[in-house]
Amino acid sequence: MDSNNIEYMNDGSINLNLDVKLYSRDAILNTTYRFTHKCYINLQKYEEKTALIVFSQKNENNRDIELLVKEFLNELIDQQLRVDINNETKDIRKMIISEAFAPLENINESEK
Amino acid sequence: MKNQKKYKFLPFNFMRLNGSTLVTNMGGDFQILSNETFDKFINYNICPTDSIYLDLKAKQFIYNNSPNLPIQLLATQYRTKKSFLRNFTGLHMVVVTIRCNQKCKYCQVSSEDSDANEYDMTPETAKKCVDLIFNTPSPYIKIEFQGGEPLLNFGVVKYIIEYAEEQNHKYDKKLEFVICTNLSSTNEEQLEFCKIHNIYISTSLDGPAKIHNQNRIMENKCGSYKEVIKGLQKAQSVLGKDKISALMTTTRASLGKFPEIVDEYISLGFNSIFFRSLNPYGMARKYQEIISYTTEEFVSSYCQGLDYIIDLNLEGTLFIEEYARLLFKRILTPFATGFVDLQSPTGAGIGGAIYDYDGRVFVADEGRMLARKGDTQFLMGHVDDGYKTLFGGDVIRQTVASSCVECLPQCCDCAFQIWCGADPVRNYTTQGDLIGYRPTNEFCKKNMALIKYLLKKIHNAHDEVLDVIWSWITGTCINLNNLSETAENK
Repeated sequence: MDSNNIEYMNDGSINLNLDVKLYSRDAILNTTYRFTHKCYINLQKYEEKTALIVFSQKNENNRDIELLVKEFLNELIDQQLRVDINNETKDIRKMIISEAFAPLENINESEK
Repeated sequence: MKNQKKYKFLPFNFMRLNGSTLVTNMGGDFQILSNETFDKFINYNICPTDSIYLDLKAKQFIYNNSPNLPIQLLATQYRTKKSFLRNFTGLHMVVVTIRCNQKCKYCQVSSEDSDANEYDMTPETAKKCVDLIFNTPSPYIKIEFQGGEPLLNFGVVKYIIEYAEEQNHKYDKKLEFVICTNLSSTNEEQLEFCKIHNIYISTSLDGPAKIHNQNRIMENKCGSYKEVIKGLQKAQSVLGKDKISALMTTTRASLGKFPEIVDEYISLGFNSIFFRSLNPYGMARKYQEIISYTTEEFVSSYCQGLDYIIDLNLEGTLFIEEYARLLFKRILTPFATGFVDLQSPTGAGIGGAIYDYDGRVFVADEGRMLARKGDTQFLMGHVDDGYKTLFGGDVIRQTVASSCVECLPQCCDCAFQIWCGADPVRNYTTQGDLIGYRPTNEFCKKNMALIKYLLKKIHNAHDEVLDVIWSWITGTCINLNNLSETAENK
């Protein structure tokens, strides 16, 4: 069985079970943000092994919900990559900003 | 796998383009990689012998041993990119009246009739504005007169200029004045005053008569084109062409006609234009169905207009599109380019502030329009409140804190982040809150499309087009002899 599993529900919604070893909470939320204008997304649970996300149509004229879930999964890969890059570089990013604005450290003193 | 890494990452963002991937970093450097190369890059499979390896290392995307040097280099670049923040508020827009002799369909302030004198700023309020303005720590002060039509209250314009000049003996700032006027009521006395005081004129011209007259209308309901051209020519003859610039506003009538508009600008002696899209405020909302258009339609016209202008430059006419110049400078140079409407944090309040005729102070022009409808979200206070209360108050703090693209949803990992900015006022007006929702945000959609187009221009450009782009950035003429030689050699 796929570690990521898609279930088609009778009411037309789709349940997407994601393996949280592959996708972090941040990656899932970042991806969800990019799709909430296209369909309803309910992040029902994020547990030790799996996350359950329910997709349903906003109205009958909406695009095919299955296609949206596929696009969601594609986007999720890039979002997880961004999370990974950020995890690797976040300390350096903080150091760059600290170094860039170091001349402002005593700004409150100089204002007095 | 980890101990086999050939390099380590420095912070970067990426964006999928058509068939390739753009990577950008905090210093503003960028590289467009094929998707295949990007896959190798993120899997640590670029070899030191690959030519792209040296590019990525030189541009601070990767490092080998210690990150200390790249951190210092990126910090210097980042500090330079953000150096527009150093001076605080330099642009001070003073609304000396909201009376106007025109009734334009997209007016964002809903002006009053030209005889409604109760909407004029008084000399007392004007004095308080100037006193307040000189509290800014900025060594540069630009006072921009707006309206309505500011020349309908010329007495107060004169007063502010003379009083500011007098005050400046004490403060010694670099002081500049701009009058934003439709030029349809300008007289000799006003122009002579402008000449003596070295004042710049910014006027509005939407293009040839048939385009301009559709939206810019005199009080008597006739198009204003004839009056504006008469005023423009008079102003050019007294002040010189270099003291006068014009702004165009794109409406449905101008879509697809940008080349005609450019031709009109050139024939009137202008050497630049700003293809400006419609702001969704004031009268523009009322006439939305007649004058509005989709973001895609604007972008399509913009690209057509930009291509036309670049071709003109290649044929020897130096003419600039200002928004492209701003973005090209951001993309291709390490320098800071503060621009109130597109910077992070926003320029609202900390880059520019607006003083309404009644002494109320707003972080942005659009704020006073909202206030007229009863929404005081962007009202900093009144000139009587004093500098620290106004410029250190909650309104300016909240607006600025909501406008750092580095931590806004979706902007925070956007590869255009270092070149782009936020507009919390527009987010509030169009989407109901200062942060906005990016996937349906038209401001985001427009800037993403324009930046993509400019990147494509840079990426695919022949040397001569790059020469044109650099001539805009540096403000120098391109050498047409070299251009024609290059063309002949091809």
